[in-house]
Amino acid sequence: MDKKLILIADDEPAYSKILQHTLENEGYAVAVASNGDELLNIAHERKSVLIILDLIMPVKNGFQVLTEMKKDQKLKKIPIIALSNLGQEEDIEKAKILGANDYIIKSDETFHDVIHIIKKQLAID
Amino acid sequence: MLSQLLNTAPSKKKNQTYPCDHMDAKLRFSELRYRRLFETAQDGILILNAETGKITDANPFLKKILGYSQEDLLGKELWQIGVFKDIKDSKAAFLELQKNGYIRYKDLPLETKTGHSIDVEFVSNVYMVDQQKVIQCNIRDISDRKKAEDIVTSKTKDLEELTRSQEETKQAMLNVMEDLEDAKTRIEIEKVKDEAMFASMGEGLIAVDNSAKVTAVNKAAEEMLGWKSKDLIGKVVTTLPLEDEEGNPVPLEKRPSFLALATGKITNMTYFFVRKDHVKFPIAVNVTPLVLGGKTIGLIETFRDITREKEIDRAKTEFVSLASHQLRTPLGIAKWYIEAIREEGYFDKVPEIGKDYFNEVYKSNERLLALVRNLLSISRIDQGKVKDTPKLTNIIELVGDAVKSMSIVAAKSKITIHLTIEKTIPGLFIDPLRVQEVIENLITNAIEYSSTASQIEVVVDKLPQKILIIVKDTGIGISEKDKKKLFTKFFRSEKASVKNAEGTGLGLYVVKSYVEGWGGDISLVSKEGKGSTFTISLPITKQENRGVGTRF
Repeated sequence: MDKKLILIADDEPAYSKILQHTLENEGYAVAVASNGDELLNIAHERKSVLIILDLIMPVKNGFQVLTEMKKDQKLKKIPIIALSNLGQEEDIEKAKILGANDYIIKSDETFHDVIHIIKKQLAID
Repeated sequence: MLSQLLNTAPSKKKNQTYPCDHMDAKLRFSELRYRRLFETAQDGILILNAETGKITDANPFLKKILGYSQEDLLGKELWQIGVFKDIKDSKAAFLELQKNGYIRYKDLPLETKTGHSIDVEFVSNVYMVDQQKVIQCNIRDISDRKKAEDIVTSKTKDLEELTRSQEETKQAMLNVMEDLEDAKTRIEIEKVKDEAMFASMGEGLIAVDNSAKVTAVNKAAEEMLGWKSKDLIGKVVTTLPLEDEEGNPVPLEKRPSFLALATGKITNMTYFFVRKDHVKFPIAVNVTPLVLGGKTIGLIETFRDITREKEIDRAKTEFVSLASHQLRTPLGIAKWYIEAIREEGYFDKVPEIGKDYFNEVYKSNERLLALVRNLLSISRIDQGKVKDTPKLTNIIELVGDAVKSMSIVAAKSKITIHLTIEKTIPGLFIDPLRVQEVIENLITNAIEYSSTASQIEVVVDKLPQKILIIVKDTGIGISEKDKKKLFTKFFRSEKASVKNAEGTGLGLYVVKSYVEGWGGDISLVSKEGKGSTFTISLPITKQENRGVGTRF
C-alpha cells in the first residue's frame, strides 16, 4: 500500500528536514519544496493528504499559494497547516480566511506539540 | 459788704451821700439796671471778695447751671466747692487774678453739684465797689455751643474724610486708568506677539469661539487644509471633513472639538483630514479649551500633518516584524532540534553533566525567544495594534490554572503559591490569553524576587464594579526610586538584575499596557526587604471588544 503523502514547503531546510524525518518515522511519505511554486507543481503531480505551508518564502509566498489553491478545483480540498514564524493576529486571521485549516507559530510551539497538531489534522481526514 | 449792697441796694443806697441828687439818681438807676441784669442775665455771675476769694453773691442763672443753692455758695472759696476740674491750682489762678485784675478761660470744664460736666467760658474782672475790691466772675454755659462746635468739627472731619476719600478714589481711579492703559499696552504687545506666533507657527492653528465657529486661521493651517481663511472663518469647526482610517466621517461626538467643548479638557486625537482638493492625510489634532471663570469661551486647535510620522511608524513596524521573524527562524530551529533530541531514546544515555549543559543551551535559547516575542509585543502595543479576542471568561478558573502551572516553577525554589477566592466572581468579557499572560507575568516576578521556601499569595476579590487580582510576595521589594520607573519599557532595577539576570525589563510594561487597555489599572504596594503586592483591577461592565494600547 502506498504511503500517504505529506507536502512540506519551507525555504528553511532545517524545518523541513526535522519534520520530514519525524513524519517518515510515523509512516508517511514526505515531499519537500523550498518555495510556493515548487510546492504547487508537486501538488499538481502527486496526490497528497496534507500540506504544511510556510508563509514567508521566495518566488511565491504562502499566502499566494493559499489563494491559488482555493481557486483550483483539484487542490482546494487538501487540508493545509500554515507553519510560520509570523505570529501576529492579522497573519493568522489572513491565513485562515485564505483557507488554512490550522496555524502553527514555529517558535511558540514545542516540537512535540507541532507533531501532535499535525497528527490531529491527519486524523480528521 | 457788696452782697448786702447788691441785695438791698435801693435802701442802702439811700444812706449814701452823693455829690448831688442828679448823680445819685443816676447811680441808683445804674444800680437798678445792674441788679436787673444780674438777676436776669443768661450768664452765671459770681461776686467774690477780692481779698479773701470768698463768694459773696451768685445770680440765679449761675445757681441753675451749677445746681448749687445760695447757701452752698455764700462764704465759700470758689475752689472749695469743687466746680473746677481742670484748674489744678485754683489758688494760683486766684493770685494771678488778683495781680492782673483779669482772667479768662475760653473753654473751661466745670462740674455741677450733681457731678455733671459742663463747658463754660469763664471771665473774671476785679474792680472797686465802695473802695472795696470785688471780683465778678461771668460764667457762660457754652455746652450747646461746644456741642454745635463738636458737631461742626466732626462734620468738618467727615467732610475732610470724605474729601480725602474722594481724593483717594480719584487717585485710585487714576491708578486704575493708568493700569488699564498699561494693561492695554501689554495686551497690545501680547496681541502682536500672539499674531506673530499665530502667523509664523509651523503647526496649523485655528481659533474657535464658544459656538464652535472658526474665528481665526493661520497660514500653516491654510496650507495644510487647502482652505483659505476666508472660507473657514465663521464656519462651525465640526463641519470640517474628518475621517477615520476606513474613510468613514468621524461622528460629532467623537470629534476632538466637540469633546473639548463638552468636557473643557485638552483633547488629543489622530484622524484623517480631507483637503479641499480631496487629498486625504493623517492629522494629529490638539484642542485646548480657553477657560475663563470656569466657562469655556472658545478653543485653540493645533494640528500637524503626520503623514511622515505614519510612514516612519509603518517602516518601524515592518522592520520590527521582519527582524523578529528573521530572528525567530534560527531560534525556532534550535528549539525544535533540542526538543527532538531530548525526546530521543539515546538522550537517556547522555551523562548527567551533558544533559545539564544541554538544558542550559535550551534555556538560553528560550530566553532569546521570549525576548524577541516581548519586543514584538512592545512594538505592537506602541503602534496601538494589539487586538484582543475577548470572550466570556471565568476569571477564577483562569487564575486557578495560572497558579497551578506556575506552582510547578515555584516548587523548584520550594516556594508555595496560595490562591484565595474572596467572593463570587462574575465572568468577564475579556481576552483570556492576555489575562493569563498578565497573571503569569506577575507570578513569575513574584517567584523570581522571592527567597527560597517563601510563600506567594494570589487573591481574587470583587468590588462593586471591579474584579481585583492580587499577587503578593515576601521578596526583596522595590525601592521608592525604582517604583517610578517600574512600569516603563526596559526598566530593570539593579537589585532585580542581581537577583535574576534573565529578565527583559518588558514584563510589567506589557502588563500595564494590557490592563490599561481593558480600562483597568495596576497598583503596587512595596517595601524594600518586605515584599511587594501588585493589584490589578478589571472593570466588570466591560462588554465590548477593546484594543489594548490603542491610542485614539
